[in-house]
Amino acid sequence: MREWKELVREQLKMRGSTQSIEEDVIAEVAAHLEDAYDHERREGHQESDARKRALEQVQWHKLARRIRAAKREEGGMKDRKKTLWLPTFANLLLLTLGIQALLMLGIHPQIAVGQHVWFSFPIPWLLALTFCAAAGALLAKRGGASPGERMIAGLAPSLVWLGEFGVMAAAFGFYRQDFAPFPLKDSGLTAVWWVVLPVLALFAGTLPFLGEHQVGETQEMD
Amino acid sequence: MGKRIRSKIARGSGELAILSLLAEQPLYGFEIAKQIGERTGGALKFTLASLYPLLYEMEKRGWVEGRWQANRAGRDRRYYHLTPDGRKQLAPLRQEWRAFFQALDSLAGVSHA
Repeated sequence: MREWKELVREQLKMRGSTQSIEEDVIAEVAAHLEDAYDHERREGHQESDARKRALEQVQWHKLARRIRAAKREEGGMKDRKKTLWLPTFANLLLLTLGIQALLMLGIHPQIAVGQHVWFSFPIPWLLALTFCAAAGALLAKRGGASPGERMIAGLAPSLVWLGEFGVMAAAFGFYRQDFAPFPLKDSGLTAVWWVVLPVLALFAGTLPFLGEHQVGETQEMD
Repeated sequence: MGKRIRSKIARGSGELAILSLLAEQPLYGFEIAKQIGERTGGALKFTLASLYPLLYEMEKRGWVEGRWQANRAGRDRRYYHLTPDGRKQLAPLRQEWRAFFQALDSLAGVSHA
């Protein structure tokens, strides 16, 4: 039983849940796994196979998230703060500070408009994006976020830029009957460079935190 | 009924299934899951991630109450008991599901057991 408790505590801790999940719950889930293991053993499975089959019944991330929601008075809203809003805000704040620091150091993306539009994204700039996205996704994961929430927490700045780009395009369209500050033929390229490249950098930071790192699981079947 | 019923219908029916089982006798989580699986021929199958959050929600609503007791093997297990409030829920829930199946039957010719 103690071994199962340790396993449950460890798995829930990986999903940032031990502070909010009571010992009673850990003991109850551990007892369930112990019973499932004993059942598999009685069915004639070897120890390792029985253990694997018992663990296949658990999707740790869902278990942690749903138990937190069920145990809390405020339920989903409080959960969402930890899994989405705070990590997203942290990502945006870090990036704002990071960009200011880079600008003070004279490191910033360059755009030259001549015969052709030309862009340059310095490596430190892209690394800052990757780092901030990783921080947002990591915080979300530690808060027990779903992969979708982690993705949003990591890629949040790109949503802001997309909004800014849309507003800018609409403003130029309205005042100058032109899509962007660049010739129309370059506007698509502008969008690609302003959105796609930074998004790729953000995604690179988010990606390592999208996985579950689960042991011996299958799809939930409820 | 070969296929497992999924999603919200399964969740809603889970409450009725748990209350019905606990009306017969107090049970702990593993027994609840096992009996539901066996008695529905696998149509309803709970994972840990669906069973315990549902039990905790039902406990919060005051329908069931969990108490640690030793089982037949002498191991401590959290037995869920039906509360008077939970017992009161059983009849209206049964009625709701009966009406649901009747409505589905008249619409799509899906007869219930």
